[in-house]
Amino acid sequence: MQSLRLPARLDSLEQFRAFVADTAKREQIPSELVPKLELVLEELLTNLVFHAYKGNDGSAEVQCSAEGGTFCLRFVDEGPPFDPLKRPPPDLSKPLEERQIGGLGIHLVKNMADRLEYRRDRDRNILTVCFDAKEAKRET
Amino acid sequence: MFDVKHEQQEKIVILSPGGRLDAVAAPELERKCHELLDDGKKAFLLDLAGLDFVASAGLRVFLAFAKLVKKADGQLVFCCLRDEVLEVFRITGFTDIFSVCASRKEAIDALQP
Repeated sequence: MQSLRLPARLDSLEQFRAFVADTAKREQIPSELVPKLELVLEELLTNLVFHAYKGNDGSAEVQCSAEGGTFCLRFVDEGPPFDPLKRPPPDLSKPLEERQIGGLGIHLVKNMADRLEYRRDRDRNILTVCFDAKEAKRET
Repeated sequence: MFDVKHEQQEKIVILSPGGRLDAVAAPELERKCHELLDDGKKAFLLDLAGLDFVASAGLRVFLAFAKLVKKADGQLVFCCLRDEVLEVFRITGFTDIFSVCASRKEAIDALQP
């Protein structure tokens, strides 16, 4: 398991992105999965910056693990309890004028991931997002 | 990296964002869109051929811009989305609320009065 902890700020995004891309490459994750990993990373980190810490100082930790054909990203933060999986899905049937600005990030995460799990552990939110990455295992 | 170019073709403003449209880049595109609207422009083509990546922060800019364009009785058409970006448009239902064309020519035809 690899992990990186940085201040929860927008300017940390690039470092987190490089960290996940490098780890995925080392673990021989299929390249078509990488855009999905990047999108999930971006959505969950920006959520953390704007909503969990609301501009206050805080840190975010991202862990990567690969096991048995599954690649998982785990997000750990010390923000207030927040289970993104409980958020109601956005209403995508509404016409342009009534579409809500926002709320699409978590919807994207749910669609990109194969499995998601949230738990609150003492004062930490722990969100695990897993992707099937079996093709890589077959190739190696 | 992100950049946004714009050009005018008769009455149509063609905006070409390139690179990664994430939360860091989104405000830059938003500024550009507002500038052009404040300038009285009405017909917009967003050519996304150069866009590698779009996150919800970018979708938010597209949606807000589309609402403003509609309010101003203008028109907005998208074209030339890469597969990853098209996938994000599909998942979020953006392909249902926006006019998304395969080519620039098709998009320009759609914008002609």
